[in-house]
Amino acid sequence: MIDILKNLIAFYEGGDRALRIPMTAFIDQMTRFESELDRKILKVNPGNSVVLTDFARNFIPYAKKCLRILEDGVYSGINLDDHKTEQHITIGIARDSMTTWAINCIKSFNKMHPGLRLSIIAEDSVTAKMVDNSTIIFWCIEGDLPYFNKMWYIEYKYGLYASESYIQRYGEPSLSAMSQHKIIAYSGKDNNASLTNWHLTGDYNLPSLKADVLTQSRDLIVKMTSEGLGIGAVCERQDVYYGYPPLRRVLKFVDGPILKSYFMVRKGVNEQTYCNVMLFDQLFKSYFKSKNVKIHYE
Amino acid sequence: MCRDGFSEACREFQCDPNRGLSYLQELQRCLGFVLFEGDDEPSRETLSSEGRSFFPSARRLVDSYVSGILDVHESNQRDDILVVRSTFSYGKNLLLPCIAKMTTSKDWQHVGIDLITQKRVGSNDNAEAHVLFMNYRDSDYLFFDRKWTLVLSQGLYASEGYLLDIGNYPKTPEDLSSHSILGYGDVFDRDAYKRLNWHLSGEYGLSEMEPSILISSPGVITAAVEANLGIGPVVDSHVQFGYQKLFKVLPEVTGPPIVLDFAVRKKIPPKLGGVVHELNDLMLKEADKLELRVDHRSGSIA
Repeated sequence: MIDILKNLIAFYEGGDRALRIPMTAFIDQMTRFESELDRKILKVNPGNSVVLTDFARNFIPYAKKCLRILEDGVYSGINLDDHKTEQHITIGIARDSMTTWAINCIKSFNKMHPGLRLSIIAEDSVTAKMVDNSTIIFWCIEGDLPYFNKMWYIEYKYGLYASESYIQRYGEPSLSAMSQHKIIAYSGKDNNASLTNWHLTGDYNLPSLKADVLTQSRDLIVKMTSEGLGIGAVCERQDVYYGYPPLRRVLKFVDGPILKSYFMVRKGVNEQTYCNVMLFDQLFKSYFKSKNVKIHYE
Repeated sequence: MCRDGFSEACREFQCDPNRGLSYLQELQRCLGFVLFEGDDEPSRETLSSEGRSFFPSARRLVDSYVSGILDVHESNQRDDILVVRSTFSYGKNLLLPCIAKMTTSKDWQHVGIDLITQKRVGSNDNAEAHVLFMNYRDSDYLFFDRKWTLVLSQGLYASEGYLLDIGNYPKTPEDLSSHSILGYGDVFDRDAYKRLNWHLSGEYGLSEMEPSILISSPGVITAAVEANLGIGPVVDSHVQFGYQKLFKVLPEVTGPPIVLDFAVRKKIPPKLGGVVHELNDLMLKEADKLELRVDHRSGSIA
């Protein structure tokens, strides 16, 4: 409820730019809120943009009041999350991370605590459900997630990559001939889309490129690159992060952005949950240390 | 849809019958005649003579609507990007390898692809796609012709490592009570995953079970089974997608089939026609190679 109200107020005050979740997740969240209230919160105006209904605008002062009361409760030590975390632990993580390396951490945890119920929310982007329900979120994110503390992070260094089969067929790509190559990109429309498509921006020593192999799933960008469908903007060490055989880096002078994936823990979890969270903290760190991935602290 | 009766149309469109009735009454007011025999009957199974006469016009109306929507989408889209909407798992494991095979063809040099694996959010979202490889209700095929259907069986699987660790191979459904069972969903919203959690429901020859680990994504559950986390529902064909180390436990237990339709948009830009045709052929060949069951029921409802 807190996140619903926070997002509603953020959208009212600053539009979709003020949201810390993707617009699609916000719409999902508001759709659920609408059915709970049996009132419309969002409407599409003639210019095709999503705006608040009159009802929602009138509701804002009450939402702010509710939020103040709820926040006071949370931060004065009344732990509203205890009922969620007492017997369960929920982890929000990217689907590709879960299917490759994180599943082994879950396995180790499960061996140590076979009685504890685990719930895994493995998605392609941060969803409202993930933010509402997770005890731990491991995600590449800018800024902060409401009600989560950032504990540590790892860095992903991006560059341009292609498969051996692609290079054999089309030759080593050169900067001047990039327009003749198939470029793989992300076609989703969430807040991080432009960061994922850094190679199309005209920066990073690259000309403005047009993508013609697209996907709305970040997981599949690496798969498409590895299947030889084109040149992809992928992070280094695909074996560590995605479980794919390493790809060939092309245009080595092109250094893409460095993105950070944070290990984030819900604020105000009880002591027992915190012990379990720390166990996951150690398991995740151990994996990265075993692969010589540096752990950073802010 | 009303040709099959009003209540059937409401079911198909997942429309509340009361709301459907108010739509029907509004339509009848506009038309000036009733569409069903015995309009006061709750079932409204038979079209009236006026309803039957109106039916071809209604069909033309739908065609015209569909054509209009498709034209609008076409004018807003690049005509050299093939848009495919698929489930994540089959997009990754079946579609993408087929698309990779197409990269050597001439047609591929002039076109690109957009593979969408996210759930749709709006009723007209599918109209942007040229090819669907998912499971939809008939009413979702307004803009598409269904070409063929994959019918996939599923059962309960465990990894060899898990069975060795636990030292207890389940021989009867009752034996499952001493095992770690994987389920779909999350602890806060179990109802949303009822259809996927067939193995927990107390049907299919199994007792009701509580999962020890819940996972939100169907694609991840197979990986969790392979990682020795427990026994879970897996589509039999996943064993051919690189999960060879899985064993079917209680082979007599068969879950409900998963159905995926390969459907092609009624209007395809000329540049993409050849690629769609080639993709259709490659997918069928791949399905044949994997010995998957293909049902060739085709057509659309519009």
